[in-house]
Amino acid sequence: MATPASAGSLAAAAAAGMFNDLPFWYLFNPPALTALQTGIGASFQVDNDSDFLWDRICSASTGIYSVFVTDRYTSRPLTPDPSQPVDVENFAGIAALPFWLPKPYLIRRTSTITAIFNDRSDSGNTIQLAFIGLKVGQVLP
Amino acid sequence: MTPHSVMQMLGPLSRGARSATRGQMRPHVEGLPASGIRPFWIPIITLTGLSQKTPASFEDSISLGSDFWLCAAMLNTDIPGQVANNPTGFLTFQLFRLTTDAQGNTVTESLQQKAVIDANETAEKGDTHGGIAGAPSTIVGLALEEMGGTVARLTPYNQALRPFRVLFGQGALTNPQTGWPALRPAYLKRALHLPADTTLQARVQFTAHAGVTLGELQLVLMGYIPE
Repeated sequence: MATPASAGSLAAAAAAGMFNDLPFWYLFNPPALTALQTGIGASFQVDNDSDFLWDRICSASTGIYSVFVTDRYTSRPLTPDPSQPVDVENFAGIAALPFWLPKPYLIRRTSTITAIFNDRSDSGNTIQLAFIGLKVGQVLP
Repeated sequence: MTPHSVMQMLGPLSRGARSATRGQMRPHVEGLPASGIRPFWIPIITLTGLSQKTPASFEDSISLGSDFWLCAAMLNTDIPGQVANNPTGFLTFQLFRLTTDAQGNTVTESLQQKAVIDANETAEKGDTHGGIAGAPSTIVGLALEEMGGTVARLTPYNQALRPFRVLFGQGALTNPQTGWPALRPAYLKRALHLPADTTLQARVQFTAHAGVTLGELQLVLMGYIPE
């Protein structure tokens, strides 16, 4: 049975150079939006095992939408107001060409990130929005 | 094995491969504080429900509630992609800072004079990007270009498009899978620090073309604010 890493073992792992940053995708998977539906929320919580260094945004969906995102750890939004959501074309890329944050942003472990989605396609819309980055300071087994 | 050694194994990359690689690299923006900032997106102009077929200009302004380090600007619109091939541009974009002088007069200052951008160079590096088109919506990337030091022109079809065309093939102006952003936005080489209470004004000029209707448009400034 795996046992929680003690502070001593973490220090030893660090000394041995065994820390490794783990590429990770945190996902918003809101329920499918109906045509022009607004105010549909979704969220993810950063795992308790490590902080998350967020540096890319990607999206895949069946139609265009706008989004308003809030970091619940600080209760601060990433755009001015829910009434001014950002069109996804101006917010996210695709895996081949993601939107890069010029400077990565550290999201603390257990933080919750919420998003409110609004359909702009005028038809049903299935959305996945991904925050991509690194779980920092992972200890190799 | 280091990334460098991997590249050595691969040998010289084609132009397309280089562009693809750059697309997977974080843009280098100087002038950001080392810590204590968080990303922020400001939709400065949002227009929806239009059926604009004649020349028109639109403007809106915001007052910054905190310091803001501007890093990139993005614009999307539903204008068809083939129109974006007009080399003279059909949309112009201007960004101004409004201040008040000692006499109480409003002074309009172009920010492009302060934003250090070299569209040609960044285009070659794949850091400044042109237009993307795709049903149902057309996305026109924003390339800020210094024009007389005062106007940033949207460059829907110029060298900024090269990386994209190389990536997806000549004439393939859409991402084959999504029709969504296939080029990165125009990142500034150096973040532009705008103090709190700065008033920003954006103007978009639509130059009509036959058969073209402007239905929606959003201009977004991306940068960082204090944490």
